[in-house]
Amino acid sequence: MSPRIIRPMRWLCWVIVVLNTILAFVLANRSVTSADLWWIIVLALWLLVSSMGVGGLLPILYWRYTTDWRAWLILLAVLVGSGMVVYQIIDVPSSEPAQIIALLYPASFCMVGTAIIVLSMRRDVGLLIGAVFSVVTIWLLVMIWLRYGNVFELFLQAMQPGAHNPWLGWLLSLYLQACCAVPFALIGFVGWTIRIIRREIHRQMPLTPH
Amino acid sequence: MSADAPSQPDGPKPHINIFALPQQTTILSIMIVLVIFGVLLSISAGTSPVELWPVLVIIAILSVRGLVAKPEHDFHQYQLVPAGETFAPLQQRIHELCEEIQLTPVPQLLIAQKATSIATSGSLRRWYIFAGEAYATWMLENLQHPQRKMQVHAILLHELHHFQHGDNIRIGYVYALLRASYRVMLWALLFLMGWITLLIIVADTFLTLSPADLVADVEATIAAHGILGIDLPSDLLIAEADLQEMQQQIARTDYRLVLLYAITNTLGVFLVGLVLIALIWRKLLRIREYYADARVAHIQKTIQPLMFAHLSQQRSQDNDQSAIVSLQWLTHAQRRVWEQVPKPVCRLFVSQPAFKDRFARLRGPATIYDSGPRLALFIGIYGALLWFLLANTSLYHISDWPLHFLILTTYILISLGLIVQHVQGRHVRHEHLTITAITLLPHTILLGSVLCVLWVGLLFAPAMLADFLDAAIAVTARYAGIEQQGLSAAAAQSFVIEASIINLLQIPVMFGIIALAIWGQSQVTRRVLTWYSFPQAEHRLMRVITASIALMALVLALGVLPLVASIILPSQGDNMYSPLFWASVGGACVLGLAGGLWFRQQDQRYAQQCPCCKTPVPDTYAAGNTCPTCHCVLHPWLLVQYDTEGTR
Repeated sequence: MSPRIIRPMRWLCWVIVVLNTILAFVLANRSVTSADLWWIIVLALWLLVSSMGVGGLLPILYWRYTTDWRAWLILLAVLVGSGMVVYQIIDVPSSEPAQIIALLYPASFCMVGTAIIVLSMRRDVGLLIGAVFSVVTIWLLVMIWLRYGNVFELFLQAMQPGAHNPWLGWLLSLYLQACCAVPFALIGFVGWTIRIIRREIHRQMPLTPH
Repeated sequence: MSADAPSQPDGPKPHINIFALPQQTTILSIMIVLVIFGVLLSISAGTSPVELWPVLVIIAILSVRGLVAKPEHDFHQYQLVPAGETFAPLQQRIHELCEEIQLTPVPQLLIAQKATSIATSGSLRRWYIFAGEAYATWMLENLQHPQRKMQVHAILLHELHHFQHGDNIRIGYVYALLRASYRVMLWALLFLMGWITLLIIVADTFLTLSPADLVADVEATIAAHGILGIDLPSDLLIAEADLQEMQQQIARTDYRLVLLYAITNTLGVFLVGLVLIALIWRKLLRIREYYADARVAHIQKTIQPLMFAHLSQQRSQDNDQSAIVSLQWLTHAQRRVWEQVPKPVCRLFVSQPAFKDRFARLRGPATIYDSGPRLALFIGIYGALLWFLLANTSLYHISDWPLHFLILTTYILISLGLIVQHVQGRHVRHEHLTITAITLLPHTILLGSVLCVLWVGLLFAPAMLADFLDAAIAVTARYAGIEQQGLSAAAAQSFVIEASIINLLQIPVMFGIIALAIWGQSQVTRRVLTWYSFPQAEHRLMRVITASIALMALVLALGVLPLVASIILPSQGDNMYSPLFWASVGGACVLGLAGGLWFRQQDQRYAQQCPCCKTPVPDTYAAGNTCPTCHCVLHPWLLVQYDTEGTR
């Protein structure tokens, strides 16, 4: 990738991280009426997808999966952001829909933070962990679907004013994580391992760099 | 004159043959593997509020995978490419040297785009030697040079002997294990912290959820649309009673303690992984270099070519601080940060020894082994680390197995470390007491600090101490998350007093047991070294010594330690009525007796007897001793001759 593209993309990612933190903070603080419910859903999805996107992009843009002190800086930012939101959840128990978003945000950030740390250190370790986590998550979601019904519908029910099921938002974040992680994790890790074992058996040299 | 042995009248001076002794790299590797897997097993075994055994499985798989994937890792890190036709003579020379030292398969030569010196990379079946292009060109140019070709041979032999010693497998596995352990434990720490924190938040909400309404809604949805077009039977839905039970279970669970449990069990292993990789692993890397150097000296009968080769390499690296720790692969920005680190600190993390250290080790190979206070301090820190981890992960007191484990490993490591002193003919009459005392120093300081904190808490904040002990006991005894009665202030007081007495008592007891065991083992080792006419002594004598250490450790583990613990500890007194206890003590006695009888029999047959003329020889062993009658060198396999004077 050209440095002319990389630099603005880095800036963009950092702006998104800051904006997301402020957004989650604001949303967690306000009471929500049924009129702006859909805005909240859109913003919640934006928070999730953009956080995961930024989480995946930053390590690539900065240090291409090698260990770096900047990973710790991002983790710190993630923890501080999540901590603020968690505090708001505890502090403002009456704004239920906002709680859902506030729960979604640290949940996704928790995973993204984990992904940043693990991916920044070793891609294959991150992939294995992602694979294990994803399989467990899918299994959980299938069980929940079978027992409770459509997860999306439950999420929408939970978003209705007066509903009190923020844990369902947490489950949804798991679901989205699984969707994003499964193909990447499974194909990457298993494929890579099989290739290495085959090379080892046949005493083949690894691919040489271009 | 060599520090190791008296000189011979003709030929180069003799030195201790370090390949006849237990190898330091093996001992260090086993130490690291024991720490990691011992602690992981400890946190995985038994009931636990958080299932941590998957972490053990993941680390076991990843460590093996890391070993197999080492070439992939190095190819990426150092940008390795196959050496072309230009370097064919060098590859041919590697072939010839491999035939000379009977090494198969032949490692392949590679050119590194991101390394300046020469190194090895390999997994179980794929072996490579790689060098920077300038370095490979220098070797190629000097291959035909009448004087310098010996330097090139020395360098290549040095690298080949890394494979011959199994460094690529043994040290490669340790490296992969350390990397996997600290990274996976960091992940586990963050993962568990995140999810348990969320559980703490949602637990209350879960309690206020109305399952009946939710189930009714879902049933209505299913009745109207079905799920994925399939009508599900109603018994798949969770029953109201089950939900209530689930809610009660959630209400009983203290997630804060579960979180504390998760943090204490993962953070310790993560930190220890970092310490091991920063210090002990680097030490391991330096020692393997000394062994490879020593093997080259044994083959070439002189250290001159090797030392000249190392000297030229050292000079080229003197102005490049990053090179001394083989960090040529760092980015420019990372290098700039590294260059700010003070040199003394930098030396701690050095993986390639300096020229003067290599030279000193070749002139006195026995110095590869730590001796005296250095050995003691090293083992002491290792022991304290082990105690900290094991005590952290489960509520063990003196007399339980982890502490026995600490005594046994300390005994084994000191005994192995002292073999080289005995082989040199040095007396360790009082040294073993000093070594044992220093070994216990870090442990004592750690224990003393814990007791100080407890007493300060008891005197100034007894209520807080009771809460703290409650949490600590719940976490370490794996009760975290289970409903329990709190500890009263009076109970906390008696707990601290009892813990102080027992823990302070354990120091002299441990000292006595370890010192006595080492003294006994020293006597055995010194005596075994006088079995000059023992058949195939060059192959079997060291095995006898290591077997005697193992036997002594077994006797301690099965007999002495449980017996001592039962006598001095009231809480362990009941053990004495158990048939299993006496079976174990009886087994230890039988083992000790059988070992003793065999030793006596062999001693009468082979001790103090010249293998050549069968006449009696002096009763004390010293390296290079000769028979007074036929002048035959006793235990010649413990010595090796090579010239070290030419490089002065």
